[in-house]
Amino acid sequence: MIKLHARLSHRTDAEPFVARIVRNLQNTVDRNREILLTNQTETMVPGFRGYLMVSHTDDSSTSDSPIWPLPAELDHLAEGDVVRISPRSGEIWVMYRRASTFNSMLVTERCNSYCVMCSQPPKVANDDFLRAAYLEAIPLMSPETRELGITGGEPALLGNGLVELLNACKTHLPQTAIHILTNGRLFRDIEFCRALSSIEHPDLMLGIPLYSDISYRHDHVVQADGAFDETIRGLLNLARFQVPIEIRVVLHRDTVDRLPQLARFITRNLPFASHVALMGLEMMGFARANLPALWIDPADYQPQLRAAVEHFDRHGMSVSIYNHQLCVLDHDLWPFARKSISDWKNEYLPECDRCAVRADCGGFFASSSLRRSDHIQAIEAAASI
Amino acid sequence: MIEVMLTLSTTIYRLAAIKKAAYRLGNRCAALIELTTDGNVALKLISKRIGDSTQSLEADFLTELLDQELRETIAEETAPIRNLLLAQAFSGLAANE
Amino acid sequence: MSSLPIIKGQRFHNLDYFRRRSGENYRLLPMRFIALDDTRYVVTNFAGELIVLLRETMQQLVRHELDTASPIYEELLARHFVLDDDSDVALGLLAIKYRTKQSLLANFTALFMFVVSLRCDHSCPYCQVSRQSADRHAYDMKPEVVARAIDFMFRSPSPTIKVEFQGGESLLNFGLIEQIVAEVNARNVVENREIQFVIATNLAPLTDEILTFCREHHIFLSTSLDGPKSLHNANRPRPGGDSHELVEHGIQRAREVLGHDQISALMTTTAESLSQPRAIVDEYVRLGFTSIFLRPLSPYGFAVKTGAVGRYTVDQWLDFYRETLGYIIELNTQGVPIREEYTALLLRKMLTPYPTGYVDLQSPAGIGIAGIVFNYDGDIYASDEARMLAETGDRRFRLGNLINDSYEDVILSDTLLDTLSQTMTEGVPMCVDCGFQPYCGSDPVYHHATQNDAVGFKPLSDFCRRNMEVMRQIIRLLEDDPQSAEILNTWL
Repeated sequence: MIKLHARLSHRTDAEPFVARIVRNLQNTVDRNREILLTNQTETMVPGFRGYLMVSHTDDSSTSDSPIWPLPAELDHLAEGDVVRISPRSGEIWVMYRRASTFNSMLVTERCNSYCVMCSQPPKVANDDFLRAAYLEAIPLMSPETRELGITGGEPALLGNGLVELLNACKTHLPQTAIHILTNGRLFRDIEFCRALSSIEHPDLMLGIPLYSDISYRHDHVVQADGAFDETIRGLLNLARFQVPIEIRVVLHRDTVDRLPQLARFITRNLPFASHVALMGLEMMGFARANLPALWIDPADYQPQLRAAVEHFDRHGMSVSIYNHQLCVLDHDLWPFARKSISDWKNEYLPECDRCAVRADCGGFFASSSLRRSDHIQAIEAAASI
Repeated sequence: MIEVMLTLSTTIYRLAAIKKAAYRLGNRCAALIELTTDGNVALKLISKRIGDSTQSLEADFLTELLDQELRETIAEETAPIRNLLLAQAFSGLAANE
Repeated sequence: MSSLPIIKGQRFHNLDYFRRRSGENYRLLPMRFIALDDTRYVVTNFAGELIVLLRETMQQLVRHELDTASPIYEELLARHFVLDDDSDVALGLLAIKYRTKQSLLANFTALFMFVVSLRCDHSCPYCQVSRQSADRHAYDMKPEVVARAIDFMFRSPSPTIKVEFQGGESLLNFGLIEQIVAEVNARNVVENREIQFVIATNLAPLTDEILTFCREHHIFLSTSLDGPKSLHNANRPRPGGDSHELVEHGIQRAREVLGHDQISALMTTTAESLSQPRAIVDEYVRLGFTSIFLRPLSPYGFAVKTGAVGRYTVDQWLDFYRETLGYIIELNTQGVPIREEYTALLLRKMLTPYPTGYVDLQSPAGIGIAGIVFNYDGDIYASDEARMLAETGDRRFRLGNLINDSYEDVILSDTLLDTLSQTMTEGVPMCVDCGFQPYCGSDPVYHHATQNDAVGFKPLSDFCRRNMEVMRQIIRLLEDDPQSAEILNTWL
């Protein structure tokens, strides 16, 4: 697992700041918003907002200077990455990694739902500093970034703040596709939809979960009365403004039984959805606490999964299976499986070294060690995608 | 000519249901509908089908009559929401402009 | 759920908690039903969603005695047949879905048939048109008629327009086809519609020159293939008795020049066809078609004169349909990709939220709205059947003439509008509460031709009986035969 947070060796009394990592002096653009990653103190170039020292041995830095040893767990840091340093608390946070294909902006940890399998359990504290930090970070990101996620908690809780962030993306990263993960409930407010759509972002998609065709079953999964109705209204409003939508379903004991019926409901009532993502459980947060109730071996829900996938396919709706290993999926479902786990939390087992299709398989969540299918096994070379 | 005579209570069967059932079986029989002095419906069904039987005609008519009764019940209960549905579907407030 | 954890003071509630407002007082949403068989009903809603219920279940449902803990209750909730206190998006969703199903109406007329000639070298006894023999040019469409027709056509607001050339044998006036295509394309530079050209032809007059033209202008060909050689030639006589050979050769040439899928075929069922369902399908497969349209005889034109119509009953045709469909499905399970078009159309109506434009299954009727015919003499007809009726002397559905009448005269005529409104299945006896109403259509021309009443007394209507039984067969297969259902679901 790739670490994105670390402690700095010392604290200084200064405001938090966001900066881009520069390694090669030829690539500096605005030193006031850059941190030089260097391993030589004697030729330290002045003017940078901060300095991170690789393989630092000299402890002579004063406690006031913005020079820190690079924490060992952040040895992956590279030019073009964007970090936030909080000098007073002595923390460094890697907000963006240029080399990653899975960059995501966590804009709040607050949420208006309380999903039984939430991998990022909500917090109530005001965390507006996140929005502010990302507003600073976006102009520092590489315009060649293919895709950027906006996630949380519930990003729509930012209200106009979300509109601001999306505008910043359009301005500074016009070629970057933006994928917002939201429960869609706040989009029941048509004016909010209008505000979002009027940005006219060139490549936007909202990923919105729907867990059942039955209102109380969906409400149960997200632990909120009326959530189904709000989400449906949100979906319809967004469709009215032609905002591209992906529908997501996390597969566990409370959602697999009616999966084929949900597929039917979606193609019948929400045919404007561009894509459907059927996702394996990530065993973090509440999912871990509720595991006894939620866990079902993926091998045991292949019939429902297959029926749902076939239904979408026949109705011309694009569908993908995420977070499932190829060895637990019906062979006919392999064409729909994607390598979807963010690189920083992606792992394989020793068993996988012997597998003929490892290169095409998405592997595991780092957290999956808690509970895995009984059917994990290397595939013999005869099988193919 | 096969004929079936039925007396139907108007407290149990709606007149509209009786007429509709008779209409639906119009390829099979002709129907004469009259009200009796005590407010019931006297129904005569005259079969158009060669070799028909009174039992078969009566049974088929009663089955159809029950279906029509069911339809009347549904229509009554759903009339207001049907009007709402049509209004919403075709008014400017519908979400899919 | 096993005992609920409490995390940071927040308890997780179980399903029953969220279910607490559901079920108690469910209300019915608008629905129609009809018997599927002795024990079950087909029940449909305004959006065309369907569910099959046991009679007892239906009765319990309507008496508000249905067990709301049962799986069937959840199906009824999800498919919008009932409503309860837990959710109130059902009506909004239903309204959108109903609107979507009606949405093609706003596009208005999308199909224009140009009868470019009545000449024909075939003399099929079931022919719906009275044809003239090949040397009588008086029955070709005149240039001034063409110009007016194209003007009229572009008055329609439809963003997509299909121009279909009909006859007689339309290729016998190929020069006129070339002209019309050129003029339509020229006009379309400004109009910017999506135009599709189709030529209906028996392929006998096909030449390389014609094929080259079709390739250049992306023209589709639609031909008649009634079955294997002996059946086809018996149904479709021409001097030389070689209709089938010409069709087979024409199909091959057309595919070589235009592409495999640029030519389609349909068949007409005669009394002779009834005994050969498998042979007919095998012939379609042999000639590389992946689609077949099983069509009964229409009671118009020469089909009436020659007595071709009336030589078999609707029930005999239904037996033929059921057997043929069964054989087609069997071929599908063996990996042969062929589907029946009428069935596929009904499946789309039943299983998808989208509307279909097929003229004969619309309410309000497809006449004038979905399609219009320009006859060789400039007369405008509400449909091809209306024209056929006129050729036998009944001009009830003639809407006007291109030379004398304006677009408004025609489209706003009483002939058209009264017929449309008076025959809508949403408002006529039997249709109004029929379970199949969302999938069916009104066919005023058919009912006028057969019963002298555009509305039609449906208990005596073969149109009604045929459609009902076809739909029952499809729904029975979907419901009771998983292997067939799987195949049918791939025809969407």
